[in-house]
Amino acid sequence: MSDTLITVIAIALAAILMFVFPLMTMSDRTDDVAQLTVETATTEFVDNIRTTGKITPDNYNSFVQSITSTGNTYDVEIEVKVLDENPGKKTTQTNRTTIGENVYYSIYTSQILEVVSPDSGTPKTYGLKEGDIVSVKVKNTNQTLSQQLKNFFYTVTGNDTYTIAAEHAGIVKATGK
Amino acid sequence: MKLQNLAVIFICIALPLSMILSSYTESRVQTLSLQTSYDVKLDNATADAITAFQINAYNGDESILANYKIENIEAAVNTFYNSMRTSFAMGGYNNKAIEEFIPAIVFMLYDGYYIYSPYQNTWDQETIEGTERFENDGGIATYHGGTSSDNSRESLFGLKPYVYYSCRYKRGSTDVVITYSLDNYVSIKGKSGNEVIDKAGYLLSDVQKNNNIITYRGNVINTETNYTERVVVDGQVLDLPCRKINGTKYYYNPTTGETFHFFNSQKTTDNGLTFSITDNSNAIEYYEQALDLRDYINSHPDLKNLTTADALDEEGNDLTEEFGNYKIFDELFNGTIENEDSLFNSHRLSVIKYSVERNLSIAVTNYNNYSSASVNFRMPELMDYEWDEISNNISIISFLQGLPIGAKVYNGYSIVTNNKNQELVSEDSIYILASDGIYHDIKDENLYNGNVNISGAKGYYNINFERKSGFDSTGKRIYYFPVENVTGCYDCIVNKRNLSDSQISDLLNGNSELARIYYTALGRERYGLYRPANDTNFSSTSGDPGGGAGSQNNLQISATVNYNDIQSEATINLTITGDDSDIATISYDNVPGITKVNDKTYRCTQNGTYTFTVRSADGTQTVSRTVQINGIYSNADFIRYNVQPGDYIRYVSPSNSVTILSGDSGYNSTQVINTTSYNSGYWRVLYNNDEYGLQIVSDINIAGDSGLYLGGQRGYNNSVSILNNIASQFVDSNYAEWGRALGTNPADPFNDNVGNVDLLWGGSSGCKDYDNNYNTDLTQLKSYGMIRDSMDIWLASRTYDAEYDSGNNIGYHRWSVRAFSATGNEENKLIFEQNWNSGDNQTSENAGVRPVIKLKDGIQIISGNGTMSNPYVISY
Repeated sequence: MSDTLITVIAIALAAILMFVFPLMTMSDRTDDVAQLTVETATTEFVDNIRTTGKITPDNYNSFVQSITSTGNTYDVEIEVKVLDENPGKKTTQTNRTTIGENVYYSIYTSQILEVVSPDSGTPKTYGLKEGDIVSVKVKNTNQTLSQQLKNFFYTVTGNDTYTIAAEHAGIVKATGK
Repeated sequence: MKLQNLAVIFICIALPLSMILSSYTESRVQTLSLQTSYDVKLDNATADAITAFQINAYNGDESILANYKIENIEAAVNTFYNSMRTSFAMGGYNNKAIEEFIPAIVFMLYDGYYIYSPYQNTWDQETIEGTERFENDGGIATYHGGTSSDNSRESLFGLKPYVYYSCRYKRGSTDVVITYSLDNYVSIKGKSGNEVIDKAGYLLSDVQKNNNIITYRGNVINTETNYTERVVVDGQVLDLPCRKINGTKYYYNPTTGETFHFFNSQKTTDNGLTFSITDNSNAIEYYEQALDLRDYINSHPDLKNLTTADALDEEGNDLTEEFGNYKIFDELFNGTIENEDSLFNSHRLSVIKYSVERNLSIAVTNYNNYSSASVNFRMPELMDYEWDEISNNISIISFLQGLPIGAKVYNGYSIVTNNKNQELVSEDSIYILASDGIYHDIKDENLYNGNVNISGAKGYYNINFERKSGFDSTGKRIYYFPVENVTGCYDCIVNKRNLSDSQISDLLNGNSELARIYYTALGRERYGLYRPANDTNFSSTSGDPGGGAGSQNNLQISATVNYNDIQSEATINLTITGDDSDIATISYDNVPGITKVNDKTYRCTQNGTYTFTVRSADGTQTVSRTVQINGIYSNADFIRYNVQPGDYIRYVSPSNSVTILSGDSGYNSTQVINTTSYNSGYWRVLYNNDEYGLQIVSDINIAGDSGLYLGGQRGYNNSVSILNNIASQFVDSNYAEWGRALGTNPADPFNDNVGNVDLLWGGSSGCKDYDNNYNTDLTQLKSYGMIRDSMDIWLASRTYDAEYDSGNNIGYHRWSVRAFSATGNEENKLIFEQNWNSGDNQTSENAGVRPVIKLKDGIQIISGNGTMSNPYVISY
C-alpha cells in the first residue's frame, strides 16, 4: 500500500521535474529577454523623439512592431507635455523684474495616435518643439507563459498585473522640422 | 533502476544546466541594459552641452567673434564632462576619470568644426631639460623656467584648430578652395591664371535686377524703414530702430540722436557710420551680393564649369571616387540651386562628410596612444540620415568607448542638433508676426487660408522672441524680449500642428505679399550674420584734425533720405557737424536727376549714387559722403510692386442709377440703387497681380441700409446677372474697364452659362447649377482684413441642397445664394424651396452689395500712401 503511494508521489514528482520545472525556467528567461527588448526599444524610441523633435508614423510603427515581436501584447501610453511660454512672456512683459512661469499642457495617447496612426485617413507626423517633455510607458496585457505556470502554485490577483514593463522620458532637444 | 533514482539523476543534470543558463542569460541582459543606460547618459550629457552653448551664445553680444566662440565651446565641454560625471556618480572626481573613455567631441559650427580631443604637449628643449632657476645674466637676475622631463610629452585635452568645410579644386589654370557652410553660403578663394579670386556670398538662382529694383522669385525686395527691436539702454528698455551688420546690432535713438552698439555689455557710441540704420537695406544687399557672385561665376568659365571631379585632397590626389563627376554650379543658372535635392547640395554634404569622417577617424584611432584603457578604439559608422542632420544644423557629436559592460566593451556615440541659435538662419527660423500681435511659423496653414490678416505683417528671426536680461538704473535685473507684446500662435508655435507638408517655396508661390515679407526678412537676417570675409570699417573718414593752434575741427557729414508717398522722388537732407563758420563750400555731383533746394536739401527723381562734398573754411579738411538712392519707382513699377491688396484708393463712380424690377429679383417691389449715395465711400485694392490686373472693391456695402433683396426662383437664377449689372453702374470709363459682382471668377466674371439642375424626382428644376467661384474673392477679403461691414454681403454664387426624406417620402430642393457675414463666415441664403408635396416655397432675403471694378492698365497714382486717411489718388 505504502509502496503505491510512494510510486504515485514519485511519478508526480517526476512529471513536475521533467516537464514543469524546465518549462518554468525557460519561460522565466523568455520573460527576461522580453523585458530587455521592451526596455531597449522604449529607450530608443523616446531618445529618437527627443533628438528629432517629432513622432513619425514610421517610428511609432516600428516601435510597436519590435515590442510585439516578443510574443506578448502591450499597452503603450505616450504622454507629451507641451510647453507654453506665452503666459510667462505676458508676465515678464508687464512686470519686467519677474520671470513668468511657463505652463505645460498634457496631450495623451489617444490624441497622439489620432494623428500618428489614425483609424481612417493618412497618418501624419506629430511635431514637437524644444522644451516639450515626452514620456512613454509600456506594460504587457496578456499573461505570459511563466505567469500561467506560476498560477498553478499561487495566483497573483489585482486589476493591473503585469510582468513586463518599461518606461522612459525626457525633454525634447530640437524642434521638429 | 528505481524511479526515484532516475529522478535524482535528472535533478543532478538539469539543475546545474538551468542555473548556468540562467546566469548566462542574466549577464547578457545586464550587458544590454547597461548599454542602453550608457546610451541615455551619453545622450543627456551631449544635450546638456549643446544647451550650455546655446545659452551662452544668446546672452553674449560678442559670441560671434572667434575667441568668444572658443570660450563658449570650452564651457560646453565642461558641461558635458560635468553631466557625464554626475550620471556615473563620479561627481567628486575630476575630468580625467572620464576623459579616458571619450576619444573625441566634435562641434559642428556654421562653416567648419572643432574637434576636442587629446594631443601631446611638446615643450621646448630648455624646458624639458632645465629646471626652474634664477641666473645671473650680466648682472641681471633672469628667470629660466622649466619643468621636469617627465611631463615633456604630457597629453592634454583641448580644442584642435578649426577645420573648414572646404575642398580644393583645380581646373585648367584655376586653382581654388571653396569653403561651404551649413546653408548656401560659399566662399571661393584662389587663383585663376594671374587673377586672384576672393569672393563670398549666397548662391541663389532667381535674383533679377531691373532698373535698380531687385526681385527674388518675382517678389520685389525693398528697404525696410521701420525695423525696430527692444534693448536695455541706460537702465531702460527702449524700442529703437536697429540694424544688424556683421553680427553686431547697431541702434539709433531718435530722441537723443545717438547711434551705438554694445560690446562687452558696454554701450559704445558710433559716429559717422557709412550705413543708415533707419533705412535697413540688409535684404537688398543680400540679394545684390548673390547676384554679384552669380555674375562673377558666370564670367569665369572655369568656375562655371567646375565639376566635382576637379576636387583634390591635401596631397593633390584626385577625389573623383569620393565625389562623382557633375557640375557644381550648374543649377545656379538653370534650375533652383537652393533646393535640398540639388546637385550642389549633395556635393556640399559629401564634402562635409568626407572632411569630418577623415579627421574624426584619425582622432579616434590615435586615441589608442593616449588612453590607458586597454581597448581598441574605432570610429563607428554614422548613418545617412545622421549625416543629413549634421550637415544642416549646428550639432555636437560625442563618442564614448572602452567602458566594460558585462560581456563586451561599450562603443557608442550621440548626435544632438540645435536649430535655435545665432550661427545659422535656416529657412524655418523666420517667424511671421501679424498685426494682431501673434507670430506664426511660415508653414502654418492659417496664413494661407485666410484665417490670418497678413497686411502689415513682418518677418522676424526666431531667437528675437526669446527672453534676454539687462540691468535697470538701480542695478536690479530686468527681463525683456527684443520683440515684445506678442505671443506665439497656439496652432503652429506652441503645438507644432497645423503645419503644411509642402515646401516653403511652393506655399509662397501663390501669395505674393507673404513671399515679399518672408524673403525680405530672410535676406535681412542672413546678411546681418558675422562673416570673416566681411569688411569691418564702417566709419566715414573725418579727415585729419586741422592744423593751427587750438583748432579741433572734426568735420563729419551724414545724410537722411526721405521718400514721398508714391516713391517718385527722394529728398536728401544733409547734417554737418562742426561749426557753420568752418564750412566753406558744400558741393555736390551734378548728375542728371538731382536738383538743389538749398545747401543742405536736395531732391532726386532718379535712382543712383549721389556724392556730396564739404570743405572747411580754412581749406584743410574735405569730407565726402555718397548716398545711394534705390527706392525711386516709375509709376508703373510703383503700382506693380507697391500697391497691395487692402490699400485704400480714391475712386468716384459716375452718377448712375439702376432699377431692379421685381420680375427679375423675385422681390415684391422694385428696387433702385443710386451710385451717388456711395460717392464719399472708400474703395480698397482687391487684387494687384498679373493674373487679374488691378481690381478694387468697395470698402462696405453700397446699396443702403437694407441692401438688395433677392427672392424665389427668379432671384436665384438672376442673382449673378443682377449683381454684375449693379457693379457695372459704377464703372467710370476713364479709369475702369468693367465692373463685376463680388464672388464671381476674377478672371472670367461674366460667364453665367450654367445649365439647369434636374430634380431628384425627375424633370428640370428650372434652377441653375451651383458654382464655387466665390472662394477666391472670399479668401482674399479675409487674408487682407477687408471685411468691415456690419451686415451680410451677397456673393454672386449659387448653391443648392437636395434631400430625400424617406420617412415621409418627400423630396426637397433648397436653392440658396451665397453671402458672407460680418465675421467672414459663409452664409447660404435660402430663397427658394421646391418639394414634392406642397410645391414651391419662395422667400426673400437681403444682404449688402460690394461691387468690384477693374481699373485700366495705364492708370497713374499721383499721391497718397494707401492708408484710410491718405488713400491713393489716381489719374488717367
